[in-house]
Amino acid sequence: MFRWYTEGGSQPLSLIGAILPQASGKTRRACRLDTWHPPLAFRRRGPCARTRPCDGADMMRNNRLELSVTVASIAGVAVFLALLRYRSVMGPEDVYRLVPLALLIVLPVAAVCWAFARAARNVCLIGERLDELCKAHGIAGVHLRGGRHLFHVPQHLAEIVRLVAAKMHELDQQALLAETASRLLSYKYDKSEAVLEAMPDAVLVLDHACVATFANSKVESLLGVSRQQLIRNPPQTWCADKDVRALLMRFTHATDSAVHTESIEYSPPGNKDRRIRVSAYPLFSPHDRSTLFGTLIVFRDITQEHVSRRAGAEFVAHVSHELKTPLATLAAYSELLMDFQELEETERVNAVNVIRDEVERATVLIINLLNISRLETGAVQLSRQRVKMYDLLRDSVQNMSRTAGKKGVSLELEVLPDLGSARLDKELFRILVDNLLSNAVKYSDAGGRVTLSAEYLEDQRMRITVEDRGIGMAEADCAKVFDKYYRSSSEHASTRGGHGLGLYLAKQIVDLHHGAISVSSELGRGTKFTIEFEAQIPQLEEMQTV
Amino acid sequence: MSNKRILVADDETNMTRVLKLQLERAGYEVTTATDGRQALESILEAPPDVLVTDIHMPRMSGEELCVEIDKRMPARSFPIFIMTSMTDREHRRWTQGMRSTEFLEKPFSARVLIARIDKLMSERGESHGVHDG
Repeated sequence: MFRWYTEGGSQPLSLIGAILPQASGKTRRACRLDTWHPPLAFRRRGPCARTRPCDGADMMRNNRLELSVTVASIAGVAVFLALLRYRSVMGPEDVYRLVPLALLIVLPVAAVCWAFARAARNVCLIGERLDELCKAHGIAGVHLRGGRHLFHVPQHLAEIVRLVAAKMHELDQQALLAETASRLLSYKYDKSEAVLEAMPDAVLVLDHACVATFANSKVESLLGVSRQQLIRNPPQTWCADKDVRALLMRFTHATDSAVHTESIEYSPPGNKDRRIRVSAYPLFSPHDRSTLFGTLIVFRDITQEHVSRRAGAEFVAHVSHELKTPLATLAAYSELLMDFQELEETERVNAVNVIRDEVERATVLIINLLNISRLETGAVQLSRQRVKMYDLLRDSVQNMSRTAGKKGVSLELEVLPDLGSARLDKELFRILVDNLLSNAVKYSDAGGRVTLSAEYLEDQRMRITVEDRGIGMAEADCAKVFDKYYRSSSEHASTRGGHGLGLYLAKQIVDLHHGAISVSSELGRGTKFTIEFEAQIPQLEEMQTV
Repeated sequence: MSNKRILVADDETNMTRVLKLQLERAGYEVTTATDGRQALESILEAPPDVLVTDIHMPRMSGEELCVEIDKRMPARSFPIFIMTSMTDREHRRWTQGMRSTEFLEKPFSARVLIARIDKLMSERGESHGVHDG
């Protein structure tokens, strides 16, 4: 009966070991064995026998040994006692007659001993295995006992089988739960990884020893280091910047009270134009703020932000200079007129003219600044209307003629009065033409000529050109002439005032009209600005914009 | 005092013209330069008693001019007035370590400039007087 458990390998035994503590009192008692000590032959087999399931052949071999020992000893003792008792009255023949009788008594006794020994040994073996299992599973005090309880085991087999089945069901449930939990965990891990991967910034996770354990794909492009180089390697092997390395290791031995998020900015070696902000965030356990898992490092490309920040500072410096310079001249000349009563008439007239020019200069700057600000912030709604192009261009030339005349520059309008009309934002377009004309006049010398012409092209497009025969520009200047605040550093150009906003504004206005502006120039020969735009926009767009 | 010569360097000719009128009326002799290089040449030829310079100038800016003067004339004695439109200290840091430089924030009154030059000249005159005596 016990062989059923022992021959089935270790699994039934381990199940019995697991269910014994839950079994009823009777079953537990039936499984107790504390009066039998296994023969030496068993005990000497050592740990090998304990760790492998009981083998049927082993059992039989040991049983035969046991049987022979038992029979021999009982027979020997019986014969010895009989001979001792009857040695005086019996002859040798009588002794021979007694031998079959002795055998008749000895053999059944030996058979019972053999059966008992065999059963008890198996129980003992199960007991040892159970004991081992109980110790391994942390269950105390499980023993199998011989005697009459030994034969109660079969009666309780049904309960043991039921308990085993229940335990197996419970284990199945636990396995299912474990598998579900494992899938859930794997799903959560994948989800967190997907979140980190989808981040717009490069994300790196360092463990408590400052070794990278995760890096999203953006790290590769931003740092120029492959993920294989990063993962499981210390920062010394992939980070050249000393300050960044110090930041990465910042939280290695940190405690809660000392830890705050930290950021630095740096330019990667060999690429001074690029700017990267590195932020380090300590990763604490959500349940225990004193346990630091590691550090989350976020690399963000802030080149654009850096450029615009610098541009903002330059803008303030530029505008400050451009506004305060005419103010300083105004202040000085008004003071001169106030204090200098004996001033000559020519100086007095000059002072008044300077004041008027400087006021005009400051006004143009302020208007341009306001227009640029409106265009850049998107506050301008393009209001297209039908405009007679000849009238618009003629007005601009007339406005500029006073300044041009003062410089000795002639302004020519090469436009036919029947040029026709175009749909455009009149106010913005006037600013555009004024800026181009004033630019042409500014860079022309006395005796120079500025020509404004316009013509219709195919597909209802219009071309406007402003051409001067002034000082011209180098090729390098042509490429940058529409940049904000750009002013040529050439000696001739830089002495002629200007604030580097007029042509930038002109380009913004042309862009708003979906047109194109270009420049061609030659040093000492003059400059030509060309605008091409759609003069008669399709009906659909017209309806949307009006 | 009437012999003191002031060099005014500014690419804005309107500004140099009005400063020349005002300073001459105050009794100084005034020479002008329209950029830093012209000013430097003039200084190397004959150092003025006072230099008044703008920062934004073509060819050589006021900042480059001051640095160049400091390099070439370590024992410079004339004060420098720098006309600037910048108010924050960040833009004035470059004058650290330079002797007798002062900033004139635009727009400024010519009267204030003349008063400051007068004060400096009289102090120098006295100290020179004591020293000579």
